[in-house]
Amino acid sequence: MAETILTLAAPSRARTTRRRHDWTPDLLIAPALLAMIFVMGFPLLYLGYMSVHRWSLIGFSPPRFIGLANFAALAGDERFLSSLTRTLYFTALGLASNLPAGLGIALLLDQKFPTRNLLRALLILPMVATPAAMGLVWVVMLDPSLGIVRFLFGLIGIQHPPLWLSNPALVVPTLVFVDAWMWTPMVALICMAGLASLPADPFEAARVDGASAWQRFRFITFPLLTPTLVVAAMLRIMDLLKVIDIVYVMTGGGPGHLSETTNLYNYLVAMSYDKIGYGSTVALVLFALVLLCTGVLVRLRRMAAE
Amino acid sequence: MLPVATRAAGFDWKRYAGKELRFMVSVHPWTQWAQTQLPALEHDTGIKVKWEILYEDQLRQKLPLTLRSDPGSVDGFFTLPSWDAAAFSRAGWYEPLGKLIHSDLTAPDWNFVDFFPNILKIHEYDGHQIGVPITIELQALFMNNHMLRAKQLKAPTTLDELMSTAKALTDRDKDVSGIVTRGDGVQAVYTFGPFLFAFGGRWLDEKGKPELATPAAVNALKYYGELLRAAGPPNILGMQWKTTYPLFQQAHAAMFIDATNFLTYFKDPSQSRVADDVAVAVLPAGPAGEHSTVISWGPSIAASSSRKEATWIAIQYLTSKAAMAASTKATHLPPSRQSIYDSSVYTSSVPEDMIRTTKIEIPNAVPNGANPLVVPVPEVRSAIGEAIIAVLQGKNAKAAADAMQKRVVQILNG
Repeated sequence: MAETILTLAAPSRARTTRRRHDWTPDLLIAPALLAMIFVMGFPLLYLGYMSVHRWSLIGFSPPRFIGLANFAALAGDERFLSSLTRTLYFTALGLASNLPAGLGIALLLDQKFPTRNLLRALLILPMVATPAAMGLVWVVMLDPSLGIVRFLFGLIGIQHPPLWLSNPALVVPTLVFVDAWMWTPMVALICMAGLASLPADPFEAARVDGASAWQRFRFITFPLLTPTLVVAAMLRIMDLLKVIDIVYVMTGGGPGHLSETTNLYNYLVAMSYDKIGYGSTVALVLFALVLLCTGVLVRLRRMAAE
Repeated sequence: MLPVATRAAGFDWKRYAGKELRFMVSVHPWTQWAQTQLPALEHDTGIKVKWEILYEDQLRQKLPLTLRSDPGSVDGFFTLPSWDAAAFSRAGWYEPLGKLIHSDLTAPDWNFVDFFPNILKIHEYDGHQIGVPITIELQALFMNNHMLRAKQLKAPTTLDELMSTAKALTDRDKDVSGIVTRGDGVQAVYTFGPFLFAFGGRWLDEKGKPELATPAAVNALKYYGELLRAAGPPNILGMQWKTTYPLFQQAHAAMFIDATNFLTYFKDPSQSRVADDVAVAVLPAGPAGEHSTVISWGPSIAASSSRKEATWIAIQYLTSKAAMAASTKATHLPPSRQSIYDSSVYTSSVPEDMIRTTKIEIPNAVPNGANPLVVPVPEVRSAIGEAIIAVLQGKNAKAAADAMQKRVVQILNG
């Protein structure tokens, strides 16, 4: 009987809820939502439209619909596939260097010592500099004849250091190094914020139980900081997959195409080779890749949080 | 102000007074000089010109977009035919200048025949005059005289001598390369051109088909690779002009091949260690002689402009004999008019060996030879660049040339 009453009562409550729905919040966010759809949705749709067309800006001929021909061409485009592999390599190297280094710096600066605040201020300097300008500075510093890096190696007895930007095997790691020099501080800042928000109780309890510094890091700090690290990784992955600025400035994708990333290839195809449709296809694939990687990390973060 | 002779000829410079024009140009010493002449131009012709200066990369993107999407909004623009001629001609963006040059819209003393014939060819495409060349950009061999004298070496005049001289001047222990020129694939297409021509090769045949796997092209690739691997800087792979010229400027390279414009950087004692030692010579000759590339920027009229006649008056004003004398005095760039080139305005502003070199090179130079004159220039340059990178890595020149030919054919076939 009681069940019957509840069953009967439920639709009644639902009707009441529907009647009383307050639309004010929806109306308030509607302009922002519309702006988001316009700013983000429209370009994406237009990108999709362009990717199924053949379109040159030279002359007055209109875009010609070619279906999925651009996607088919992409599958056989060796330069694109190499750039994609290289971008993933770049991203993997970047993450492998940024995260441990950023976490290490954060742990160091989380300690109390006299020059801590000064070091924290200095830390953000590479981040605020313009990547293009910093790229040029690094090109000069790494020059094997005129650069200061060669001079510094000379001081420790190495007269002919490696050819950082000319050696096909070293060019990508060198670019990753410069990228890491610029962006590891951001990872460190995120980690410092994460460390500051950790509860003090587990650490005190561990100390009372006689846990060593390593044990405290391994069993308390690291697990509690994992969601923060996932956020840092997510931000870096998005940037690393789209990297173009320092590569364009420092090597232009060279020697040959040996340091060409997918985003740089995308720029060249669309803006330099005048293949707007094909460039849009490259951009769409890169967008899908970034979305996929971000999605995986969001899921990882949820799992870490649970 | 207009020269006296022009006024005396009775030419009506003010027939289009009141017109307003828009020019889109790139950053260049000449365009910067021309910008300072706009008030005088307005005073003398009554034509008001909006001079929009953009960096070259930006111009390459914005100009086609504007000409396509807003025809008629641009009246004149700055063009580099080696890059633009094929594409812009196919698009129908150039107004042929022939009928304007040979009409009463041209001042009697503007004197079209005063321009070097071989330089005028740079601005010719499909039998049409598409622009007015303003300067001459050749390539030359720059040498550090001090280094050559120290080893009792003479300026090389043939490719064989260039190889032996470059090797003799190389001193790895002192970090000195015998020669430096571009090693970045895409950029090196420019400096590779004279080597291709010296071996008897060419970019395209008469029908516009690529000729990149010929024995001449293979020999040129082989030579370029061997020269720079033996006597170039260790980091030659990927070197762009912005990294090559400082090596010569700072005495880390004994010889340098690139555009004649670089002389300014070497002669400036505030930034150069070789200001007193730099000498300029004609490019060494190969089996087919010596052939530099020659390119030239210049103003063109947009075919979509509704003010073509007024635009032509403005272009004439800025390229007249008097104007070119003034621009040469201000920029020191080699002028495209023979009368100015031979006058003290130019000869007193540059060293004697530079004048001698360019004078020898001009008649033999390949107009627009900086790259194949095709529509997709950047993509074709990239494909040629891959072959140059291959030989700089010591790979087989024949295989590199075959791959280059195949790829360029593929690009041109769309």
